[in-house]
Amino acid sequence: MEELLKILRDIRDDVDFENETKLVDGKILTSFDIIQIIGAIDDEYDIAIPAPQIVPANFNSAEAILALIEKLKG
Amino acid sequence: MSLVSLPFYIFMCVLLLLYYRVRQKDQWKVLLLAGLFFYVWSDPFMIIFLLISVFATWKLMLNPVKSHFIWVLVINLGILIAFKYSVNLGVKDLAAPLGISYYTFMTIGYAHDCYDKKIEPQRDLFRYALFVSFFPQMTQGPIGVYQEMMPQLEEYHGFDPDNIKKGAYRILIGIFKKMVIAGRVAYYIDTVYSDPEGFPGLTLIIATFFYLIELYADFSGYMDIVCGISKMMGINLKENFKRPYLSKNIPEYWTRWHISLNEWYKTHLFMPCVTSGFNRNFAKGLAKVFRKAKKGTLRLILPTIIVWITTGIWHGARLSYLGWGVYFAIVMLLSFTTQSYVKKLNEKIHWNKDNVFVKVFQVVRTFVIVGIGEVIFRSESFSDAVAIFRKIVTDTRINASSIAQAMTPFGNGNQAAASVLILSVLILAQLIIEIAKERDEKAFTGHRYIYALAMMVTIVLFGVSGASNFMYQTF
Repeated sequence: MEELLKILRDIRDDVDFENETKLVDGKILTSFDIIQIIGAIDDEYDIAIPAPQIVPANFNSAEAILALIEKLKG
Repeated sequence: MSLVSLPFYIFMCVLLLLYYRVRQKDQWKVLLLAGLFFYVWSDPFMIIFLLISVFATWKLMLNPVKSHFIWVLVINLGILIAFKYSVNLGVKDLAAPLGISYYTFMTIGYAHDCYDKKIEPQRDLFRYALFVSFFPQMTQGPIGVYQEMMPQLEEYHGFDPDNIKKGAYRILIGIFKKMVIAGRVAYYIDTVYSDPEGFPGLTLIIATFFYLIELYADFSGYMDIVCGISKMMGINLKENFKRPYLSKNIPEYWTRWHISLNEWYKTHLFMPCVTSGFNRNFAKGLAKVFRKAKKGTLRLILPTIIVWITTGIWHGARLSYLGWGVYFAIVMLLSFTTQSYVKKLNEKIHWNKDNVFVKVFQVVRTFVIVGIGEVIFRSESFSDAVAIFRKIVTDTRINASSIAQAMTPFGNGNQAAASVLILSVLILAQLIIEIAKERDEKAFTGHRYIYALAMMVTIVLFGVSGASNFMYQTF
């Protein structure tokens, strides 16, 4: 989790990724940020996130993003 | 059948009577028949292409495998391209079937969502046909999303006087914007843009400003009418505009202008491009050259170019449309790639983004950038656009003579002064009505009757009676 939080903070240092649960629904992250996250996850974990997985539920919190990474890894 | 014509409103009255009197289980069938009737009345022979699209897409998507999805794309895009670019393909200029761009988008969106397993395919052909042919949105959008629209279309809606009142008020706002605002400024724009070399820079700037007003009043006015019509039937359409000219930057602007089209592009073209293997490798190749660039930013380059060029040529086979797409691709890419540098610069110069002057500056800057794009879009040819920019840069003086010249498209002397005054009041009135509309969206308060009466009087006095064709209907 710490590793992911570091990646997310590199992209947006003004967001409380640890506690925020409405990153997309609350319009905290933009499409631009989400694409940065997709690119960073690909670089760090070598995971390609398919387009159908890019839905608000998978990016609303750091936990949801981590769950997506775990799912795609498995 | 124009949405600002008497026959249409007679049709609406008959439809509403039927809609609220039939048995609950038959209500959606009334909507389907109304859609087909509307289409046959407006464009009788071209309904064949709508029926081909509906049947082929429905049948193929019952089993949403890859090959079927590709066939849906081939059939629907094939018909669209054949009609839109018939002249360029060496065939004679064919009049495109009514609403083909919009129902093609809805159809492809449905097929893509079925293929991605986001939705279950619709088993009933007629219910699927209703989704595509729901008449208020079929001709000019908003582009409907199946999972949002279908439950509303199938559901029974009981008669609610509040919906009728709210719907009628919204229709009135739309007619006001279209016939009074867009209709009044159109003459000025047409006069100036048909001979850009014949007018000085100041007149060209004013014409471009009016063009931005016309685009908004025409297109969002249409949306007000279709949202109003749907509301009368208890159906809520998605908003397609959210005060776009108050956006503080271009990416924000494109989340507030023609929202349904931009969301469609984001879901069905941009995101699949971003996550495609080809783009992934392309971005990795770029990373070797631009070592300091953020990886996510490099992933945006190819999809942004593809989306904006596609959006440009979707408007039609004209070089100026392509130029418009390329222009916005460049602006968007500059915005994405410079974001972190701009942020650092803002911190250095203590740029307070909450300061009202900073906000006004950002809004004006965005408006000007959009204006430059729309000059390219509106020009008859690319060389006309170049001529307009040259004139604006080299021939803009603000003095008594240039102001007098800028008034000439309105007429002479007192007539021109009266036109400017009336137009200014009308544009201000539109702004007030829109702000009031947003503030009390839920409650239909008393002052709306005063606004409604004022709009009716204004439409009768200043409405342009010939202004019945909407700009985006042709795309």
